[in-house]
Amino acid sequence: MQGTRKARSVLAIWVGVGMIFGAGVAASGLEGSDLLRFAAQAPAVWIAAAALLVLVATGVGTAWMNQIDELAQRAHYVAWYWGGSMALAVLLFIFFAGPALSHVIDFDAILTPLEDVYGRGAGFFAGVSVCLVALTLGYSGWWMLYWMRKQ
Amino acid sequence: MKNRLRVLRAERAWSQADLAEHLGVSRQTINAIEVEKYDPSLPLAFKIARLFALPIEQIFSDDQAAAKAVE
Repeated sequence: MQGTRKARSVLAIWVGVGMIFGAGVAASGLEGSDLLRFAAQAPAVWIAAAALLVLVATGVGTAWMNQIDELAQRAHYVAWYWGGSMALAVLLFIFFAGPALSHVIDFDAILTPLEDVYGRGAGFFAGVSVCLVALTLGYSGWWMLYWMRKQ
Repeated sequence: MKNRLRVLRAERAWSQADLAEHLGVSRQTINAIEVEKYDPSLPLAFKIARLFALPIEQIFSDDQAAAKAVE
Protein backbone atom coordinates (compact mmCIF):
# COMPACT_ATOMS: atom_id res chain seq x y z
CA MET A 1 0.00 0.00 0.00
CA GLN A 2 1.47 3.33 -1.03
CA GLY A 3 1.14 6.73 0.61
CA THR A 4 -0.63 7.68 3.79
CA ARG A 5 -4.38 7.54 4.23
CA LYS A 6 -4.41 11.35 4.54
CA ALA A 7 -2.50 11.76 1.24
CA ARG A 8 -4.90 9.40 -0.53
CA SER A 9 -7.89 11.28 0.91
CA VAL A 10 -6.48 14.61 -0.27
CA LEU A 11 -5.88 13.11 -3.73
CA ALA A 12 -9.44 11.77 -3.84
CA ILE A 13 -10.82 15.21 -2.91
CA TRP A 14 -8.78 16.95 -5.62
CA VAL A 15 -9.73 14.36 -8.23
CA GLY A 16 -13.37 14.83 -7.19
CA VAL A 17 -13.08 18.61 -7.59
CA GLY A 18 -11.44 18.08 -10.98
CA MET A 19 -14.21 15.74 -12.10
CA ILE A 20 -16.90 18.21 -11.00
CA PHE A 21 -15.09 20.96 -12.89
CA GLY A 22 -14.72 18.75 -15.97
CA ALA A 23 -18.37 17.77 -15.80
CA GLY A 24 -19.30 21.46 -15.64
CA VAL A 25 -17.25 22.28 -18.72
CA ALA A 26 -18.65 19.23 -20.56
CA ALA A 27 -22.21 20.15 -19.59
CA SER A 28 -21.80 23.71 -20.83
CA GLY A 29 -20.56 22.26 -24.13
CA LEU A 30 -23.41 19.76 -24.34
CA GLU A 31 -25.98 22.50 -24.02
CA GLY A 32 -24.69 23.82 -27.30
CA SER A 33 -23.24 26.97 -25.81
CA ASP A 34 -20.50 28.63 -27.83
CA LEU A 35 -17.62 28.60 -25.37
CA LEU A 36 -15.38 30.80 -27.44
CA ARG A 37 -18.08 33.45 -27.78
CA PHE A 38 -18.66 33.18 -24.05
CA ALA A 39 -14.94 33.70 -23.47
CA ALA A 40 -15.08 36.90 -25.50
CA GLN A 41 -18.20 38.16 -23.72
CA ALA A 42 -17.16 37.29 -20.18
CA PRO A 43 -13.35 37.18 -20.10
CA ALA A 44 -13.19 37.52 -16.32
CA VAL A 45 -15.30 34.38 -15.84
CA TRP A 46 -13.22 32.52 -18.42
CA ILE A 47 -9.95 33.59 -16.78
CA ALA A 48 -11.27 32.58 -13.36
CA ALA A 49 -12.26 29.17 -14.76
CA ALA A 50 -8.80 28.73 -16.31
CA ALA A 51 -7.19 29.67 -12.97
CA LEU A 52 -9.45 27.17 -11.19
CA LEU A 53 -8.50 24.47 -13.67
CA VAL A 54 -4.78 25.10 -13.08
CA LEU A 55 -5.37 25.18 -9.30
CA VAL A 56 -7.17 21.84 -9.44
CA ALA A 57 -4.43 20.36 -11.63
CA THR A 58 -1.79 21.60 -9.17
CA GLY A 59 -3.78 20.13 -6.28
CA VAL A 60 -4.10 16.76 -8.00
CA GLY A 61 -0.40 16.80 -8.91
CA THR A 62 0.67 17.65 -5.36
CA ALA A 63 -1.62 15.06 -3.79
CA TRP A 64 -0.46 12.49 -6.34
CA MET A 65 3.23 13.13 -5.61
CA ASN A 66 2.59 12.81 -1.87
CA GLN A 67 0.96 9.40 -2.17
CA ILE A 68 3.30 7.63 -4.61
CA ASP A 69 6.41 5.87 -3.29
CA GLU A 70 10.02 7.02 -3.56
CA LEU A 71 10.91 5.23 -6.82
CA ALA A 72 7.85 6.70 -8.56
CA GLN A 73 8.73 10.13 -7.15
CA ARG A 74 12.32 9.75 -8.36
CA ALA A 75 11.02 8.94 -11.85
CA HIS A 76 9.09 12.22 -11.87
CA TYR A 77 12.07 14.23 -10.55
CA VAL A 78 14.30 12.74 -13.26
CA ALA A 79 11.64 13.35 -15.93
CA TRP A 80 11.18 16.92 -14.71
CA TYR A 81 14.91 17.69 -14.81
CA TRP A 82 16.15 15.79 -17.88
CA GLY A 83 12.94 15.75 -19.94
CA GLY A 84 12.33 19.41 -19.15
CA SER A 85 15.96 20.32 -19.91
CA MET A 86 15.90 18.50 -23.26
CA ALA A 87 12.65 20.26 -24.17
CA LEU A 88 14.21 23.56 -23.11
CA ALA A 89 17.20 22.85 -25.35
CA VAL A 90 14.86 22.29 -28.32
CA LEU A 91 12.94 25.47 -27.49
CA LEU A 92 16.18 27.47 -27.18
CA PHE A 93 17.22 26.20 -30.60
CA ILE A 94 13.89 27.32 -32.05
CA PHE A 95 14.26 30.67 -30.28
CA PHE A 96 17.74 31.37 -31.61
CA ALA A 97 17.11 29.88 -35.05
CA GLY A 98 13.81 31.77 -35.31
CA PRO A 99 14.83 34.38 -37.91
CA ALA A 100 16.18 31.66 -40.22
CA LEU A 101 13.25 29.30 -39.57
CA SER A 102 10.81 31.93 -40.81
CA HIS A 103 12.34 31.43 -44.26
CA VAL A 104 11.96 27.63 -44.07
CA ILE A 105 8.60 27.18 -42.34
CA ASP A 106 5.37 28.61 -43.69
CA PHE A 107 4.17 30.32 -40.51
CA ASP A 108 1.24 31.93 -42.31
CA ALA A 109 -0.26 28.49 -42.97
CA ILE A 110 -0.01 27.71 -39.26
CA LEU A 111 -1.13 31.06 -37.88
CA THR A 112 -3.93 32.02 -40.26
CA PRO A 113 -6.39 29.34 -38.98
CA LEU A 114 -5.48 30.23 -35.39
CA GLU A 115 -6.21 33.90 -36.00
CA ASP A 116 -9.89 33.02 -36.41
CA VAL A 117 -9.90 32.01 -32.76
CA TYR A 118 -7.17 34.04 -31.11
CA GLY A 119 -7.06 37.13 -33.30
CA ARG A 120 -3.77 39.03 -33.06
CA GLY A 121 -2.72 36.79 -30.17
CA ALA A 122 -2.41 33.78 -32.51
CA GLY A 123 1.39 33.88 -32.63
CA PHE A 124 1.65 34.12 -28.86
CA PHE A 125 -0.70 31.16 -28.26
CA ALA A 126 1.02 29.13 -30.97
CA GLY A 127 4.32 29.74 -29.15
CA VAL A 128 2.84 28.73 -25.80
CA SER A 129 1.39 25.60 -27.43
CA VAL A 130 4.78 24.65 -28.87
CA CYS A 131 6.31 25.04 -25.38
CA LEU A 132 3.57 22.87 -23.85
CA VAL A 133 3.98 20.15 -26.47
CA ALA A 134 7.79 20.15 -26.17
CA LEU A 135 7.71 20.00 -22.36
CA THR A 136 5.02 17.32 -22.32
CA LEU A 137 6.90 15.16 -24.84
CA GLY A 138 10.23 15.64 -23.04
CA TYR A 139 8.76 14.88 -19.62
CA SER A 140 6.70 11.87 -20.74
CA GLY A 141 9.49 10.41 -22.85
CA TRP A 142 12.09 10.68 -20.10
CA TRP A 143 9.66 9.35 -17.48
CA MET A 144 8.92 6.32 -19.67
CA LEU A 145 12.63 5.66 -20.30
CA TYR A 146 13.50 5.89 -16.60
CA TRP A 147 10.57 3.69 -15.55
CA MET A 148 11.39 1.00 -18.12
CA ARG A 149 15.09 0.99 -17.16
CA LYS A 150 14.23 0.43 -13.49
CA GLN A 151 11.97 -2.57 -14.12
CA MET B 1 24.83 -1.14 -4.35
CA LYS B 2 24.52 -4.82 -3.56
CA ASN B 3 21.86 -6.21 -1.23
CA ARG B 4 20.46 -9.42 0.24
CA LEU B 5 16.83 -8.43 0.01
CA ARG B 6 15.79 -11.29 -2.24
CA VAL B 7 17.41 -13.85 0.10
CA LEU B 8 15.89 -12.34 3.22
CA ARG B 9 12.49 -12.22 1.57
CA ALA B 10 12.78 -15.83 0.41
CA GLU B 11 13.67 -16.96 3.95
CA ARG B 12 10.31 -15.65 5.08
CA ALA B 13 8.49 -16.98 2.01
CA TRP B 14 7.27 -13.50 1.21
CA SER B 15 6.40 -12.40 -2.30
CA GLN B 16 7.60 -9.03 -3.57
CA ALA B 17 4.05 -7.80 -3.05
CA ASP B 18 4.11 -8.98 0.59
CA LEU B 19 7.36 -7.14 1.27
CA ALA B 20 6.06 -4.06 -0.54
CA GLU B 21 2.97 -4.14 1.69
CA HIS B 22 5.13 -4.34 4.84
CA LEU B 23 7.26 -1.40 3.71
CA GLY B 24 4.50 0.77 2.24
CA VAL B 25 6.04 0.93 -1.22
CA SER B 26 5.13 -0.51 -4.60
CA ARG B 27 6.09 -3.99 -5.82
CA GLN B 28 8.02 -2.31 -8.64
CA THR B 29 10.21 -0.55 -6.08
CA ILE B 30 11.01 -3.85 -4.33
CA ASN B 31 11.88 -5.43 -7.67
CA ALA B 32 14.10 -2.49 -8.67
CA ILE B 33 15.99 -2.73 -5.35
CA GLU B 34 16.39 -6.51 -5.63
CA VAL B 35 17.80 -6.36 -9.16
CA GLU B 36 20.08 -3.51 -8.00
CA LYS B 37 18.69 -0.96 -10.39
CA TYR B 38 17.61 1.36 -7.60
CA ASP B 39 19.27 2.28 -4.32
CA PRO B 40 16.68 2.99 -1.62
CA SER B 41 16.69 6.20 0.37
CA LEU B 42 18.17 6.08 3.88
CA PRO B 43 14.72 6.16 5.53
CA LEU B 44 13.60 3.18 3.42
CA ALA B 45 16.88 1.35 4.07
CA PHE B 46 16.38 1.81 7.83
CA LYS B 47 12.79 0.61 7.48
CA ILE B 48 14.01 -2.52 5.69
CA ALA B 49 16.64 -3.09 8.37
CA ARG B 50 14.06 -2.73 11.15
CA LEU B 51 11.67 -5.11 9.36
CA PHE B 52 14.33 -7.85 9.11
CA ALA B 53 15.83 -6.95 12.52
CA LEU B 54 19.30 -6.64 11.01
CA PRO B 55 21.89 -3.85 10.84
CA ILE B 56 21.78 -2.01 7.52
CA GLU B 57 25.29 -3.15 6.58
CA GLN B 58 24.17 -6.78 6.78
CA ILE B 59 21.56 -6.10 4.12
CA PHE B 60 23.27 -3.52 1.92
CA SER B 61 26.90 -3.22 0.91
CA ASP B 62 28.53 -0.90 -1.58
CA ASP B 63 30.64 -2.20 -4.45
CA GLN B 64 33.89 -1.28 -2.67
CA ALA B 65 32.96 -3.29 0.40
CA ALA B 66 31.95 -6.22 -1.81
CA ALA B 67 35.28 -6.07 -3.66
CA LYS B 68 37.16 -5.93 -0.35
CA ALA B 69 35.31 -8.98 0.90
CA VAL B 70 36.37 -10.92 -2.21
CA GLU B 71 40.03 -10.00 -1.58
